[in-house]
Amino acid sequence: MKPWVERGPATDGSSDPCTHALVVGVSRYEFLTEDGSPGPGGRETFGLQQVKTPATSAFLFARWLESTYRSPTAPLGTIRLLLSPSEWEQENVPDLAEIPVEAIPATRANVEEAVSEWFAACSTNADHVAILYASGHGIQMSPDDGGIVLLEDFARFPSVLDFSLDVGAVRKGMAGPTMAQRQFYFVDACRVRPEAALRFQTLGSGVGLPNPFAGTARVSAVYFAATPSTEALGAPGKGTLFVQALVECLDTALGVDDHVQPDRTWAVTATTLVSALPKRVRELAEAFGAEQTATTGGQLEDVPFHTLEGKPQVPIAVGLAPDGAAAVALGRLFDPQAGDLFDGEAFAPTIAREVPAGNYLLEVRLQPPTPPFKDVSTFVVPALPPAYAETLTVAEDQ
Amino acid sequence: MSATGTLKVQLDTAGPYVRQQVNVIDSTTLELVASPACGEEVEVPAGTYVVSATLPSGERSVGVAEVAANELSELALAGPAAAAEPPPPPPGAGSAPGLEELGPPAGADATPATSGWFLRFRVRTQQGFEADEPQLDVLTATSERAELTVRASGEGILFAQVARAGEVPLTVALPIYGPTSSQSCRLTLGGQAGALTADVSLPDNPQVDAVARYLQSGHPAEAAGVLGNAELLLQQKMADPFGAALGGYALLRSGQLDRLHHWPRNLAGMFPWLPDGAVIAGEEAALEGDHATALGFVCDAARRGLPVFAAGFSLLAARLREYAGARADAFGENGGLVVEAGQHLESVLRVLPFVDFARVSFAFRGARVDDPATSQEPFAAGGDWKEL
Repeated sequence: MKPWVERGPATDGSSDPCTHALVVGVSRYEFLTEDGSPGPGGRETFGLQQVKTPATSAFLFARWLESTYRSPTAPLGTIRLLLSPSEWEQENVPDLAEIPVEAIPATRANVEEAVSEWFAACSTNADHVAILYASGHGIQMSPDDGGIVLLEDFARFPSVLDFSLDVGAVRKGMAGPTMAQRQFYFVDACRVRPEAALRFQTLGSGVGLPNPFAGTARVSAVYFAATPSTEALGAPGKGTLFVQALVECLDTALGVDDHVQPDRTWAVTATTLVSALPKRVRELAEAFGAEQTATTGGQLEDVPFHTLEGKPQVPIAVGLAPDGAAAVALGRLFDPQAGDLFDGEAFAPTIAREVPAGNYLLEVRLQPPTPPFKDVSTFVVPALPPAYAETLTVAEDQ
Repeated sequence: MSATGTLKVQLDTAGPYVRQQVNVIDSTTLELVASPACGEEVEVPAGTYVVSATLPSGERSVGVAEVAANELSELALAGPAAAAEPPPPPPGAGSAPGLEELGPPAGADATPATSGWFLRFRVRTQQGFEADEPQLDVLTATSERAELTVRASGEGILFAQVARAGEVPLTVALPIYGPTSSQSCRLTLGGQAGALTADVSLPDNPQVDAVARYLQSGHPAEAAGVLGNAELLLQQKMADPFGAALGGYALLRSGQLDRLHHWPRNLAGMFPWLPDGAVIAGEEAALEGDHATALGFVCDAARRGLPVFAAGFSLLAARLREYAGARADAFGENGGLVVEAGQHLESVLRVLPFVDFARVSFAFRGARVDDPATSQEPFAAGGDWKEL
């Protein structure tokens, strides 16, 4: 199976440290109907229906990996991509109209081969990074397990779960002395009805890996899209809220640690994602008047997941107190060493800008002078990720 | 070598024993210089520092400190904003226009609730679950929200069952137990119609409460840091096994296995009624690659019953699924437990689909604490349910 992306050390057969990603997205299900009615031949399908976002989401994340992901210690080596887009996605999502030839359908046979090859690639150097992203209908077992994502040919035979990706079983198999010690699992699926979980032992077994019963990788973080009490939500055309939140956390200051790393870079780490990702998923869902809770499991040692090329742009919001001061105040934000970021900016009633991460001084001038308000010459603005917000008092002490 | 000074950061927190870790960041290079605990003095090169602390709620408090050579500089960071209320739940989940729901089509079973709060308690004894009537102090009770203090009445892990009309009851484990230092907790009931919530907090034990809230807000390293040495909680005259268990989960989650160095085995041994101790000891062994020992602890934990914390149930379910399908010869003399693990897995799977893993306390939907799978009907008053 040819990876969609193969670059760096992965192209010359060396085992130099690099990142190997496996991305799976299933929107088209061969044996599901559009309305959740029973599948052909009376198949057990748990009332599931065709969906429109998982393949979009998987391709969005894969493209982010291909274009933006950065790891100084383990640059991107391979992306294995398995996509089963729905008809709707192929007609309405420009990127999915012509998917790359290397992106093969996410069937049991293809996923089994891809997992096997990904495992082999990840097992040649403990300094590799392993990333698995899977999106589709799923059975969430527990945050420390990894869940089960249903594949395109789910329900082909009565042992319906033979046609699934068992992320928990894959994760348990990703062990050994030369196995990638930094592993990140993103399970962007929601639970099917409880009866599927109740009966899952008798419904077949998904694609997994043999468990060597060795120790666990140093970092084996699992980020889940939804808890059993909620549904994972998606916006057709844009992907699931989970992948939207994930990419935002990776592309903006939302998920960035609040200080530079020892190598002088800014990074999104395993642990900053633990707090930032569920928060952003919740915010996106709330904006739609909906509710979604993401959870995390596994071992979450604080190591970088993604290193930014430069400084993150940090949103700052500075307001003035008491009310009324903002109408006559102008702000100047500057770095004493590097100069002004802006000057003469009106408070309306706050100054809200994005600035490169840094420690700045804010000067507030009142024009015209308007007692009891007073000028402020050096108010420190530590613009560190994820954001800075403060209200500055500009009145004489009473 | 540049001159140094001393920095001491104070943070206004809920209790004097809650000592959060703070980040001391060089204001010029923006590098992390030190990570002392609040109240701890740390020596740093003279200069300007940005100091940040993550509060248990997940909010951040930031300040700037000037450190002069050979002097002690003190910085007081702002503590939590006034009485942090839980974020308002989103209106009407599930049917937002333009959003696709993965999973089965939304059912019509989310009936708006209009009645009051109903409550009852179950305690797990060696004979199984029995009705219990712990001491209650109802602090507030409106149709939107209720707050009460529950005091442990004796031995056995206590489960509160909460209900509103039209909703499946919610069962939540309470981290209180008579013969320990954890004798009371606060139970806060709320949530939109169709999304009943029951939050557990420990106002009488601010340090452990902070650990729980750090875990809830996704900050396991801070949770482990604020507790310091969780093992000490087992050595006090009135031991705090719940605090120790939370500390254990925080250390497991944040990958700090070296700080466990097998004290969870003491937790498991000293408190045989608490499944969480055996869960943590088993997980520690498994992460070290000693799966034979791990299987022993995992089965021991499952025999004890349902854990008190959601992390415990998650770890237990994951390990049972792993071990139940394994070959017995992978576990040496404990190989005979593989069959038992399979039996426990069947029991766990009957609870798992109904668990809310987004909460620290172990909570699941279902009227029957011993079999939620068969009790997913909306609440019906009667029996020993009492309205607040």
